[in-house]
Amino acid sequence: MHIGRYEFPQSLDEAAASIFNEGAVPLGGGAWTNAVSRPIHYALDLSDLGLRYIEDRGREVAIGAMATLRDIEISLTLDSAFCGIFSKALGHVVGVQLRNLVTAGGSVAGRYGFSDLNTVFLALGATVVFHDGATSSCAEFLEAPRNAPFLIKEIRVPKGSAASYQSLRVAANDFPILNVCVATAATEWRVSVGARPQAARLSLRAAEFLGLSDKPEDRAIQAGLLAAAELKFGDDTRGSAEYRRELCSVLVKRAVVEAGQRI
Amino acid sequence: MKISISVNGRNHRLEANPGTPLADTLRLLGYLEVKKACGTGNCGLCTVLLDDVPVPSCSVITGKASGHRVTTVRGLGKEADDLAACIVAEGVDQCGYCSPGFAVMAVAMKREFRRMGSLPNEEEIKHYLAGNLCRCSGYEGHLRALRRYLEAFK
Ligand SMILES: Cc1cc2nc3c(=O)[nH]c(=O)nc-3n(C[C@H](O)[C@H](O)[C@H](O)COP(=O)(O)OP(=O)(O)OC[C@H]3O[C@@H](n4cnc5c(N)ncnc54)[C@H](O)[C@@H]3O)c2cc1C
Ligand code: FES
Ligand code: FES
Repeated sequence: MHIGRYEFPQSLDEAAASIFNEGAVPLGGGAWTNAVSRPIHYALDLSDLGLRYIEDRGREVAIGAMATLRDIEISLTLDSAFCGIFSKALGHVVGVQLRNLVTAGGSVAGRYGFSDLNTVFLALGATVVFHDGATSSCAEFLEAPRNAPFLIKEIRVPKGSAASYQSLRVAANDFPILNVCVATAATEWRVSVGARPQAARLSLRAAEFLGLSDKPEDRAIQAGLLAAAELKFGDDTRGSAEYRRELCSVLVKRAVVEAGQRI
Repeated sequence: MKISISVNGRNHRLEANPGTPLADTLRLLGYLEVKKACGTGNCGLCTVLLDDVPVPSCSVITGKASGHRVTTVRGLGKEADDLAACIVAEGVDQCGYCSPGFAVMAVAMKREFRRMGSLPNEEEIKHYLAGNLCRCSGYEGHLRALRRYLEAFK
């Protein structure tokens, strides 16, 4: 991959100025950018911005854009706050060595259909925080058009949900055929489904249905069917739309039951 | 871009495209023990330590490694030699192409667990090494070699 100019900005403002005024391309781990191998005239390596952190801030946990997937996988802070679902979701992303490189910011920014992390962020009601403090809910961000440049500083994940993550892969470290995360806090439920193979989306109908019930676990099968009926699925080499739809109902059911047991 | 990298304790300064995969830069510098297969981060063959952390060098762009320390399997010295002896004793290798990446990853695993005052169990070994593919063997030999290697640290 040809890169013309390569710089390490020393502040978020400096990085933002280069991105917005000169069309510079921000790089997290650079692994996906390297895999797609498009020439870049001006690259900004975000390594010196101090964005590699995972901080417990009381009601939420903040994950810096440069935290690696391995940092997230083995974080004790995240493990205790979110029932271990981050390590379950990320433990099959290729191998430890790749997870040592790829970043939270790159994963969110890329809005990849196959992303395991984004499915979890979506179900937990995470917020994407940009360089200037502006915010967007993860749900809005994943659906927003991709035309304007942006710089992600961190992702904030509210604490207090019981959650479950489920996925199916052909081989243990392949892309998921489908992934699901269900989270619940008080009477509110959030059901997110990713790798459809398009990017993760919430099933509002399944969530609303679960919120109406005293014993939502008893209604897990119905919630799975509602999510499968509501969301769109597509074909690719890993599975057909129909297969994914079937899988969706099963994985949502399992996730609802498991999340319910963790309340 | 002017790149400066320390590889196995030796400093290199060179003019290079920062977007070149580190694996290619290392091989151009003569570190032919760094092997490359998939080129996308999937197989683990090209694993090196970047500031002591294992990464797939085919997926690290050279600009990112500038100013940092790289260790290839040859730079691991006795730790890699001891593991190599176990690999030979257990008859692990067929073509052997996956061995340099496997050895770097295995030593990184051993170091990481020793820092925490423990050694990995069977499940932890499988999890840690899941990113190292071998297209010849069925991994049983790798597990035997690792058990033998880790025995010495008990
Ligand atoms: C071989 C391979 C297999 C993978 N398999 C999986 C999988 O099974 N599941 C999974 O969840 N993920 C998988 N991933 C994706 C991985 O988890 C990351 O999502 C991906 O590599 C992007 O992270 P990065 O740090 O490499 O991003 P980069 O390549 O650095 O950046 C990706 C994009 O995000 C932009 N960007 C980066 N950081 C920021 C920022 N802070 N602000 C704004 N824009 C930014 C870049 O400009 C670029 O457009 C895989 C990746 C690879 C290479
Ligand atoms: S060649 Fe680098 S991971 Fe396969
Ligand atoms: S021995 Fe041939 S790839 Fe492993």
